[in-house]
Amino acid sequence: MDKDTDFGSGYFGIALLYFKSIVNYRVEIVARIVRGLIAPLATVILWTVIYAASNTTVINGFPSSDIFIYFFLTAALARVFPVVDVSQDMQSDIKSGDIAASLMRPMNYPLLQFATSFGDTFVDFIFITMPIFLLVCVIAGFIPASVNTAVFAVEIVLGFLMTYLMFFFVGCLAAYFVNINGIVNVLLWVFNVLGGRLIPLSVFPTWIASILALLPFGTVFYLPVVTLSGFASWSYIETGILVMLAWTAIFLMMSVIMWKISREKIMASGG
Amino acid sequence: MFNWKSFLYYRTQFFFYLVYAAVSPLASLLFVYVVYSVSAGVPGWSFYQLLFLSGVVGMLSSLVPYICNPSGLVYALRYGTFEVFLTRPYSAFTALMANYGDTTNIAGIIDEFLLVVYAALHLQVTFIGVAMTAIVFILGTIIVTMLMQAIVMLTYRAFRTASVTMNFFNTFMQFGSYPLSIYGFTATIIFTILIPVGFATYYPAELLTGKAGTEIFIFSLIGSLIIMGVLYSIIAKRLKSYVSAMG
Repeated sequence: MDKDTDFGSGYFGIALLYFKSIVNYRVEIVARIVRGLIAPLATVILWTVIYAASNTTVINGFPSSDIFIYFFLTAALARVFPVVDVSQDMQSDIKSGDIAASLMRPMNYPLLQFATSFGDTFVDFIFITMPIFLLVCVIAGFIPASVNTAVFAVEIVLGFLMTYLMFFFVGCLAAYFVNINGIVNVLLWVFNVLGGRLIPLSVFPTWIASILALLPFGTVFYLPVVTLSGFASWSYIETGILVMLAWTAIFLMMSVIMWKISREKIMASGG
Repeated sequence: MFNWKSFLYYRTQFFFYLVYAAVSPLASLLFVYVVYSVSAGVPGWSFYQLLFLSGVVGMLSSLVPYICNPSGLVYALRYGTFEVFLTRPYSAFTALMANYGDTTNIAGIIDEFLLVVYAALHLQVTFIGVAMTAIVFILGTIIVTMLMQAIVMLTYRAFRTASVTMNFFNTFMQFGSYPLSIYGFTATIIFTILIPVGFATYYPAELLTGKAGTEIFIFSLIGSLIIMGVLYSIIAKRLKSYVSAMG
């Protein structure tokens, strides 16, 4: 078979196919990298001005020297997280009826969606997040410690699994509500506001920061970035990883149950 | 009207958009609250002044996609549905404004407007100040909308995607979210003339809060009209040179 058309077999092949198809949208990738490099500059300047106006170098334990790294790395991660496309794809499949054809295939639909999301996220991470990371590290003269980088990689994988499962669960709701854009928008809003993209979690009043650290939203952007930058203590990182594992397990259970229920609903509707 | 009926038909979606409408201004409120509770804030801007600016930016971020959705326009150009409007007895420019908006943004417009009103009530505003602010904001919104359409028209042939326009819009809205004065003189000029987001965000906020007076109002009026003329000529030129996929 031609090497351009042989994408392997099964789910890995699906992931690779998505990887190859997305790589073809070069302009989109470049536009997103440029945005990832320019947009955080506004937030960095704002916080620099705020620190200067307050005549301090530390606000709620967050040093002004970490502003540059923090906001650029957070913006780079926001290019890939949360993994929201799965719910949009499921909504589209259910609305159009394409899910019927997918269910007839000798493939597991949730795993098919997983492979698709994995290919999609992987290409974004390699071609958008990583170049921004590397450029920021070069510009800031920042070299992360190898241990921190390894833990960061674990958190990225967990972040992918956790948000994939969360949005897969939301995608299942399309079997009942058909249009789930409103739910997705509310969740995206929560991720953006309470995930540390605008304000580092440690800058929030302590009681709010403590609650956010236990929610899934606070672990997707904030935890990996403060792990890589070396800002967080190891006890905070350990707790964060445990929180991610717990939420991943919760969303996995919810997704399995919801998929079983919604699949029956789809079948009953003639899917 | 069809878009609206379709939107309301999905009741759960409508409910969650109501929830979204209720919580989304909280983002601005929370951000400004945290900034002012842990620091001295932005120099020269009080809590409610910054809240007003955040509300104006939020309103603009919803208003522009409500009027003009670049993804919808690119889709129409790519699949040939735009051609239909060229045969109608009204200008293609009117069609651009009327057909490619995203109805769901109405929630964002309303709730950010309420935030703007809330912030304005805590500021000492005059009737003339409100009138000047409203006029400059409306002109600024038209400019930003036309800019989006012009960018789609200019970049479509080369890239065939709305992604460039959307990334551009989101990036300059990020800069417009904060007082332009923090970026320095050069950046203020850039965001006033080259990327005229300042006319829709910064200058209205300056006028309402009394930081700017009649001279800035007149400058905004003249500047807006000139930029509108330039953008209209770009859009009209691109529409004239548009060749239908049908030949």
